[in-house]
Amino acid sequence: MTDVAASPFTMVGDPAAAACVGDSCLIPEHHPQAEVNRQLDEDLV
Amino acid sequence: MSEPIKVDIWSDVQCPWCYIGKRKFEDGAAQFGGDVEVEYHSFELAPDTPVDFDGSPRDFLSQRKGIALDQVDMMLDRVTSIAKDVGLDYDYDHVHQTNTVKAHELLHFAKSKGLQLEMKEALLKAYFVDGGHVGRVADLAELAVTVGLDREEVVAVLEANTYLADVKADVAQAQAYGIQGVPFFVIDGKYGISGAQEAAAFAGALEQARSERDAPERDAS
Repeated sequence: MTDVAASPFTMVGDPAAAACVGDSCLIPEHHPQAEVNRQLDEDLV
Repeated sequence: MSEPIKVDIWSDVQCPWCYIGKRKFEDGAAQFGGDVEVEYHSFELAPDTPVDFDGSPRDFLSQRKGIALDQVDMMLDRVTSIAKDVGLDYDYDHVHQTNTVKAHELLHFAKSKGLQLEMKEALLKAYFVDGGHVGRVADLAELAVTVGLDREEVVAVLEANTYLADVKADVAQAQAYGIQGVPFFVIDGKYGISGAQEAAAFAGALEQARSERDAPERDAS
């Protein structure tokens, strides 16, 4: 959603929250299991 | 008494997550409980859309994005359901897909009159709930009257493109900040929040900004 490297701000909140990018307003696949899967992928759990 | 926490919000009128995010932000600001000053900034998601696009968002998504109609219907149903959870009755059967640059010009004019927040809410409600057209000058002037703006003055500034440069400056600022999607919230010039976050995320960022403001005062005492 945002080019974090270019952002002068400290980003807070869920980076996968729903937003519109370009003319596309897609619904993110984001729910607790998706979060667990991400953490598994990153060896965090 | 301390200054209110400034919140700058980049948003587009035809962005479903912006209206949902607005409600969640308002909920978060209420949980926070302190003084908050909100300013909306322009972001055009589809600036090449014709004002009189002959179709609905359903047609727009299928024609422009090549998404199958049944998939579009599922997406819109899902967004409508999420909107309902925050008290918004989206009516996609009657939404007029359009170009929003004039709506953004109107928001800048409303800001000059101290009525930007009222105008923003009226535009989002007109677009998503009431089936209003937010691209044509006459319709925008009609809507502007409902928040207390003068019809003739609105028509004059929109036809003269008086605030077009302000709209483009907001869009350019967003690009400079690396903002690629909306809604995007900047809390007190420090914290960036992207998307329709839960209310707690907004409340937490506002609280953090307030505690940082208070810290120098505590250190000095």
